[in-house]
Amino acid sequence: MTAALELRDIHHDFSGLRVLTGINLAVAPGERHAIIGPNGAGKSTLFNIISGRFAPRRGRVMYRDHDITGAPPHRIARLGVARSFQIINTFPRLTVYQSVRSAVVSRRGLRLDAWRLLDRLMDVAQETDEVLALLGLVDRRDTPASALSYGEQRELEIALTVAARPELILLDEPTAGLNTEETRKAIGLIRQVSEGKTLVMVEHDMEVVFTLADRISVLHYGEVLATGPPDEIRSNEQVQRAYLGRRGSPDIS
Amino acid sequence: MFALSVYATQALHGMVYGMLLFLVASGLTLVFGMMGILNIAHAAFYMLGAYLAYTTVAVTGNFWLSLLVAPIVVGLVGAGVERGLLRRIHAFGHAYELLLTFGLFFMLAEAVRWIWGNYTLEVPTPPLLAGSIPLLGSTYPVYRLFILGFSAAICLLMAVVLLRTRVGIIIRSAVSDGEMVSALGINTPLVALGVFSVGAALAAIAGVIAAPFLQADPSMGAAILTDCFVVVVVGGFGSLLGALLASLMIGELQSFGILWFPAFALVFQFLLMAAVLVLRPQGLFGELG
Amino acid sequence: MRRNALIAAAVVAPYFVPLGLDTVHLRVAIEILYFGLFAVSFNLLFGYTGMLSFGYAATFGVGGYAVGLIWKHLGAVPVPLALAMGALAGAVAGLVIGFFCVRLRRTYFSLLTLAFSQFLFAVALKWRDVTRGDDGLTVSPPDLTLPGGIVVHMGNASHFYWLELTVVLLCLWLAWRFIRTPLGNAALLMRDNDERAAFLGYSVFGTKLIVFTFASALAAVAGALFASFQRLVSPSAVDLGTSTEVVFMALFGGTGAFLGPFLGTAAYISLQNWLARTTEHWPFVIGLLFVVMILFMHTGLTGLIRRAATLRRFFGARRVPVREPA
Repeated sequence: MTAALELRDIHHDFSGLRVLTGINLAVAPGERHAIIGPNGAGKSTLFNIISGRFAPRRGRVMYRDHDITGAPPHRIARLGVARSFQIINTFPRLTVYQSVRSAVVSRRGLRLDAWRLLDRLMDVAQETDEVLALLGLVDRRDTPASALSYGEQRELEIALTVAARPELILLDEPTAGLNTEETRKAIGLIRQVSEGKTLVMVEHDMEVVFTLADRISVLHYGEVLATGPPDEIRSNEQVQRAYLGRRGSPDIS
Repeated sequence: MFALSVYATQALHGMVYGMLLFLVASGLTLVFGMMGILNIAHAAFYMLGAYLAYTTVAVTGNFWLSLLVAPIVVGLVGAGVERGLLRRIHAFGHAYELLLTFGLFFMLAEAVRWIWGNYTLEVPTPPLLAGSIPLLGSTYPVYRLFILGFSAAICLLMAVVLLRTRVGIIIRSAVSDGEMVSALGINTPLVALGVFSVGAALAAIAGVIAAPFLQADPSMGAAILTDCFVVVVVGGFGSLLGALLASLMIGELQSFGILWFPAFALVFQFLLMAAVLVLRPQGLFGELG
Repeated sequence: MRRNALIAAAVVAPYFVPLGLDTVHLRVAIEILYFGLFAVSFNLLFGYTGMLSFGYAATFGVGGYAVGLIWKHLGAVPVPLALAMGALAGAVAGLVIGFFCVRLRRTYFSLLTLAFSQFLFAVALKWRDVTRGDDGLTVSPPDLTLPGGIVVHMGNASHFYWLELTVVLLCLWLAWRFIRTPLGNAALLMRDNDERAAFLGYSVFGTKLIVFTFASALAAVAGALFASFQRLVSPSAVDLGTSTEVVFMALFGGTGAFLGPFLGTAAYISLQNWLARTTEHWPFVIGLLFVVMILFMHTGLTGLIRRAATLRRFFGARRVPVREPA
């Protein structure tokens, strides 16, 4: 079975500063895969490379049978890959409804329709309402994104990501800055929206990681230290040392 | 021999104008690199400098005094613009900042027209620097050589300050990575204010020394503005070295362009700018983003 | 239902204007119409898509010169057809200019659009064989014979007004529709966060280019109307002054509402006429007003009006409040 996402020998540097070295990774279809690692390990860079924000210096990114290395983000998105952002990256002056609807419009291939009135497209409206209901954002429907609370903005981030009905979901620290209650909610939400899809998630919150992930990859100084199911990772000595060496007590046990 | 002296003279003209252009464009490119704003009003600072020179000479008879008066007055105006106006609308976004500087340019240009009149004003060359000297097989105006020398001196001074002093290092860092500098505890707003004001003062100085050469003219702001844009784009936003090279290049191009293609001088600069923007938007030495 | 009645009234009422105005004021109304269209199309680019052009007069001038040349070399082409051809010329020019400019960000975009308009200005000035340079090209629109035998005399101000009004209303309707399509929505995405839009699958370049081309076509129609009325088109139609004025007009009215720029045009032209009669230093006052406006009223007149709820619907303001100053 072809992997949903495959990273082959990814290398990257920023003006000579080596950030990623020889990253190899294969994520099976339907798998929930978490990428963890200390700050500066290269997680965000890896994510940006996968989603097409920039191209790696060396290596290939394969999505199913497509070589998406260095492809422009909109092309990758149209193939069925969607990503969320660690730093809130929404449309400040659009309402929640308008934002999510824009994602639905794209999914339906109506981006360049210059004749039909958007408000009259009933199926688009319905689909948008469904996503809002799923994310619990219905009562914030007409609020501009810039006026939302932080937690709501995080929900909008996820809404934008799933409204496109991607086959591959990339979540970049989806629970960053959320309190315990909000995080619990987010875990349930992520589980629900990734049902039957492939999920790759960068996370710092170990509870989220160990609750959701089928497999975990640990990134350390730009290299994959270990990959495997949660139990394996938990008991991996190298991993423990990597975290121990950083902060004293590992919060992965 | 005759042909050589014509070319050499043109080349010298080009350098003179190029250095003048650099004095004006340097402030512009630093501000852009540091604050992300292309301050269109900068050309008005230059113009104000020239007109203040005219008035200083008219009132006191002393040209050199204007080298003191103009930069101080215009520097203060610049500080006021940055502190009082630009900072206030920062939250509105880049487009409005650009529009504000444009509005200010327009307003200041009209204010100049109102106060000093809509015609060219002659600023007499200071007696010390009047006349010409034999050079390159012909004679060359002393004053233009002064412009060259003076600008080069200021350029050197800038280089020393930026490369060797602590202030200079702070400025250079702020231009390339403002956030980092701020995180290091340096008062970035103060640095911004300083760079803006000094840039304005520099433009005013350029205006002062340009005055006896180009005369004080209500359209001088607009004239230098387009050249400045080209310099900043070609040299790269934020890069002084790029600005210097580009200024000299523009100066020479104009000098020889007028000689060879008088009809196309206007077009050529813009084609150059367009070509750079399309092919290498970061210019010679600038950085993308 | 009441809303439709209001709109119908708003569309029909302007037709009665020539009956109540003397020729001088009618000429002002005619000016307001084509500059208003010009400003509204500018706002498609700026307010809706976030692209600030400093050389927007480029395609305005292209439209003007196009119809001038059409009537000069192709004879008495009926006005509507000539206008359509002018729009097409504007669209082509917009496509070419946009192709180079649209890929650039913010200030770079503004500078390159300026460069293009200055280039066109130089062409208009120097290519005397075609454009007659500084003297200007005479524009001779032929009288239009409508089905039923009614003749629209292009030299008659009222006739011209009615024809122009019809064309402008049509263009405004097209623009109004456009905004409400998925593509119009995509424009908003480009303004607010074009990077995120790309990650949603939108082609940033393609979207911006199409909007730019459409806006250029509308600007060309405005320019064609201007040229037809003035019966002359000169390089000043593409110069920096014209590009600047359309920015002023759009901002005065407010970029947050569809018809805001139209209001701004009316206000600006009236204000300028009054100021010019009052003081010879009127450009300074305009500049001062512009600066003051950006500082304290950057959402323009419609921003102020927005506070009054009843007028909000009439000017077609979007439900999203424009970002207020902090």
